[in-house]
Amino acid sequence: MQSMYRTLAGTLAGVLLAFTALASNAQAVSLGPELSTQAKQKTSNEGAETLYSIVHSSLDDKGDWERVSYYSIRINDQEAARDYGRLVIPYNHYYNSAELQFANVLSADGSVKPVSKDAVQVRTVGGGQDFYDDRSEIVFSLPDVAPGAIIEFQLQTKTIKRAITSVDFDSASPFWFQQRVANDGWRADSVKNFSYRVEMPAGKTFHTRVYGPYSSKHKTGKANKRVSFEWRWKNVEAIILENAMLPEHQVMPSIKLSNTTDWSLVNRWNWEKVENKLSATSKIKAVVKSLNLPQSATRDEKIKAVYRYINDNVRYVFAHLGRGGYDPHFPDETLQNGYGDCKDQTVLALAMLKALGVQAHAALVETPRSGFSDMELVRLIFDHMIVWVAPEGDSPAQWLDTTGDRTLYPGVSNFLVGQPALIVDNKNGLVTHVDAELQANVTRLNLVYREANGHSLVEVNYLPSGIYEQNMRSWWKHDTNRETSLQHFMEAVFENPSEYTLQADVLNAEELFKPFEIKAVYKFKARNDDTQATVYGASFQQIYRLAGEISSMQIPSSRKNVWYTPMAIELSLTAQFSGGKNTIPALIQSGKSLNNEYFSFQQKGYSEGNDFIVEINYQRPSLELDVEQYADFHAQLLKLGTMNAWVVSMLKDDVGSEQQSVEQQRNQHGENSLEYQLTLARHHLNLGEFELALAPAKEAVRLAPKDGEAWFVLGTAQGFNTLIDDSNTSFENARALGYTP
Amino acid sequence: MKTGFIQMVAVVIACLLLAACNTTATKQAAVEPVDDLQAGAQAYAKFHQTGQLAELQAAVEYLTLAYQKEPESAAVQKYYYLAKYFHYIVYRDEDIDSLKSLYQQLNPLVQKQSPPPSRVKYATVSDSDTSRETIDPIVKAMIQEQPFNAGSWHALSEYYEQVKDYWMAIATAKRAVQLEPANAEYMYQLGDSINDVIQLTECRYDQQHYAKAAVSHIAKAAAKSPNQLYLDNSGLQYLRLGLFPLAYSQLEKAWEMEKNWWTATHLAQAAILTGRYQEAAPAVQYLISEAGDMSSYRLEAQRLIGLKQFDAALAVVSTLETKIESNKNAKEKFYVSVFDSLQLSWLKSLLIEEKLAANTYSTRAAVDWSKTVADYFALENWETDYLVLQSLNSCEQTEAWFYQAYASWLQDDSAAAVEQLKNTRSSAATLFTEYLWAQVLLDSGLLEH
Repeated sequence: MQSMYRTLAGTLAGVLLAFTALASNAQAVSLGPELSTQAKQKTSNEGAETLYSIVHSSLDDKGDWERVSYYSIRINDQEAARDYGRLVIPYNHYYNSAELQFANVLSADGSVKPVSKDAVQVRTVGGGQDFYDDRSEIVFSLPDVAPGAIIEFQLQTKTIKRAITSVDFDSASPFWFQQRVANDGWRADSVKNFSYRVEMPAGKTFHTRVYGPYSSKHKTGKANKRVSFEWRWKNVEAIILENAMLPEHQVMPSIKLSNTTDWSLVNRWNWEKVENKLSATSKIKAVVKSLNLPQSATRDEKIKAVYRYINDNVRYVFAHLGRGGYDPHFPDETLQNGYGDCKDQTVLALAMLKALGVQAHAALVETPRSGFSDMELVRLIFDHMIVWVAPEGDSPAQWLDTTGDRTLYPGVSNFLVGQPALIVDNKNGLVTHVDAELQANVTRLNLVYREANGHSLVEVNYLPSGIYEQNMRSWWKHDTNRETSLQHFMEAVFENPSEYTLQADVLNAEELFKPFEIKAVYKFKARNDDTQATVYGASFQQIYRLAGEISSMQIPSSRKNVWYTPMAIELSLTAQFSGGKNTIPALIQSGKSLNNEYFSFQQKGYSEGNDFIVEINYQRPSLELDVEQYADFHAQLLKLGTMNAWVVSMLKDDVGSEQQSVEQQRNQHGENSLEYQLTLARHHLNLGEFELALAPAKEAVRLAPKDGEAWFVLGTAQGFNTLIDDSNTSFENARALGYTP
Repeated sequence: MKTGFIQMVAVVIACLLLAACNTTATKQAAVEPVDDLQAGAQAYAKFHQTGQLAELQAAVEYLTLAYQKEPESAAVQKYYYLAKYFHYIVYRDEDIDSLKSLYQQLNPLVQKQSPPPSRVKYATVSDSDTSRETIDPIVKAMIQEQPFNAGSWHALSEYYEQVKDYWMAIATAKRAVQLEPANAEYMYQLGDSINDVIQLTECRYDQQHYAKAAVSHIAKAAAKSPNQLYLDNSGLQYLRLGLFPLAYSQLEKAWEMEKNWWTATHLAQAAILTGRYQEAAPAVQYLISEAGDMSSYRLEAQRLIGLKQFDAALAVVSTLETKIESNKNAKEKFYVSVFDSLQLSWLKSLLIEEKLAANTYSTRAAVDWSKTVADYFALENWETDYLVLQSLNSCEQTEAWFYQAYASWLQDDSAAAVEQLKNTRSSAATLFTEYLWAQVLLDSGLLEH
């Protein structure tokens, strides 16, 4: 086996506040068996399999860690060969050194080839847009990675600096997490042999926790005033990584250790970084003064003013090169820079609130991006900091996050709700979960249908709240082709865009206290047959196409894991079919409600004056479904797409129109006019009031004896009154006078 | 259904449902019903297709459940009411008042498109007593029950047409069309009723404005629902208005759809009047084989003369004469008028190139105008414009010009005869045999010999 002598190292933990640095090198001894021996193991049918995953961690008397990890992976198919073509070891060079000790390939022909020097790179990656941190990565590619090959590599990391000295923790997972080609997800292939050995000075007390179905039994050893513990697992099944999975600790087998279960240690560590930065400096005083709050300002007004100020004046930038990432800047520096990260903005907000007399605290939060840890063992799990305003009188506690790019007040993402949090104070801190009372995840679509100048118009308001609002706002800010995207998005409401013109506008995208909204007007082509009643339709699909989840859901046949979605959602559609003065709505077709164990789907429609109102409401709670339930849920969602739409015909109010016509003639021509008498006679005839039709018909003939139409109407009235001869005479008179039916 | 405003899926469904609101059940493909409405609608359709009462019973049961669940749905209301309506007609096991009560609860749209309960009484009574005195009060009740039901007004129009009160048929058909302007059946009924009124006059060709009104409705109906009856009738009306190419086009379509005596006659006439003598052959042959009457042989003779096949035409004339002679008592097929005799004697003279005496034989006593014509030919000296001066209307005028031409020819004035035939062809009674003869003779060149 050939060692690599490069100054490479890595930590696989991706905690936002972590720091890394490069470490030195040394001749390495492989933790794994010879590759030729490994090759004799029976091959599985899987695309790739980890033959050995071995982790040795060692804690010295000073509290520094040295970790050596060995992996050997057999490649069985082309897809795996593609995926394992490039391996990446990320680490934070501020806190750790990292070294790739060796990397080899046992080719299918039995030859062993090491990684080439020109195929290994150490690079500083930073954090991307608006991020300046100490992240690095070792990237390397092995030769001859093809089906039948076995690759092996060993890496070592060592502590350079300790972020927190009061807490020692470590963890190990059997898996090597390999990113798929083109960043299309991750692999966690099965592991035939996993062992995790941790060694520490005798006398150190550690709490351990084993996650997953594998044995928690371990061997214990003692030598040279040091103790060791070792876990060995065989045949660890692969994990298929999918969307909407349960929290990591519920699905990923792993072993975690910590020297404490007391979170006050983390609280104290963080408090010390914050407490000296909350003073009312002259700059803070000036800023607070600039808020122009009256003496009588309420707590809520003060919090909002702070929120507005930071959004207007401090851009989100994570600038922590050479600082480790845990220490916030002083608020004065943040004000001076006009930017700051979550810690900087939180501390600034705390200082401003304190100056305004509002008691608030920093809150450390683990975001879903980082995971959802159980909090049994103390570790540095937090990757975000926000503001927690303590309850006061009748006012409840308030969570505040200023780091979003002009997000809706209070700026806290609905994704954070329920996530682990530690509210930092000058005592022991408060271990909790984010219990912010945010706007529910609701999408509302209000549609008003009406007629105008021979066209049908539909005025639409798309009103998202909660995560829908946050997503839409973010999309609008970051889509460089947003006008076109908006048009396409709103065309989902009516699927026949060739039939209408659409004017859609976004409102409040930059407003801090008004929710994002889309207003749209659909003007349909002029109707070419005014004699027929207008027919309006509305269906759940109109909103589901905008905000439904079915189109982005995995097909049930490919699902392997429990489908878990912690957020409840609601979609609500109200359609108002506006009738005119002489219109009666007639329900042609209605939609049915549907309830099952997964969601509630309610529909109702009712007349309101000349209008007809349709209300459709879909509510899905948080769900945790096994594969079979997921398939059923998916089928139930598909069923929603086949449900009847609501169809309402806006009928002319015949009697009302008749009466209106009579009144119009009377007003225009007077009672002693041919026009009025004829209209009145026809009105009675049309309603079957035949006797009543006679008098005005006769009066019409008396007024205009040479009018053929008057005679025709009289003939009709006489006919219906069984005055047959008179009727025929009148009709003949009509014809003689040139009347044509 | 309107066409301009289409909203997503809903409109497609709306079209289907409103189509289902017609009272005529349409045959539907058998699909597994998903709810009580569908099951009921299928059973109702089957009842109309098969007449099986068990299907009607099933329809009532399913639709009762559907109505209990969705009383506001127009589709449910429609099918539920129709099932109950026909159930009442079949069994009479319920009080008509309960049907009326249900009808009054229906959405106005459904009311307008469903037969009101009073129509049951109307249908029952009008089967045995069609007098106006009996029917009018029932009519009144029916209209008052739902004045905006176009079907009721249409039914009335048919009734008035049946009892030959054509003016009332027009008045009621007008209202039906007003309420449902797109309904081809109602349009046709209005046009046909106007046509009926024209028939009451002495000469329909004097009622051109009525004829135009009639044809406009009938042609619209034919355009909307191009069936044989509408196309044939619109073709006929165009013939009467002298719009021969248009008539031919309509009648060709009608002939494609169905071959019957009426269409064959009208198509043959249209073909001759547009000079399509060859194309007239199938229709004329059909008439000869199916009817074999004087009219069919006359059309064949006209066709052959138009083609200048004079020997063949003479043979047809001889056949016709033989048939007339041997069927003197069979008035149905070979009824001979003064005009028929005159036409035959002139035609034969032309074909054999010998001036035979004008024959005024008739199996029926000549009266009025026919007597005037017959008497004219009995005179020693014929005034050249006598008949024209005597004619009182457009019909007589067409005949007058034609027989005046015959008289001129008999007096060896072929030039005057040609002019008078041209006047015949410019006259109004386009479907008179004299008009067709004028067309044929002018085309044949026989008068120039």
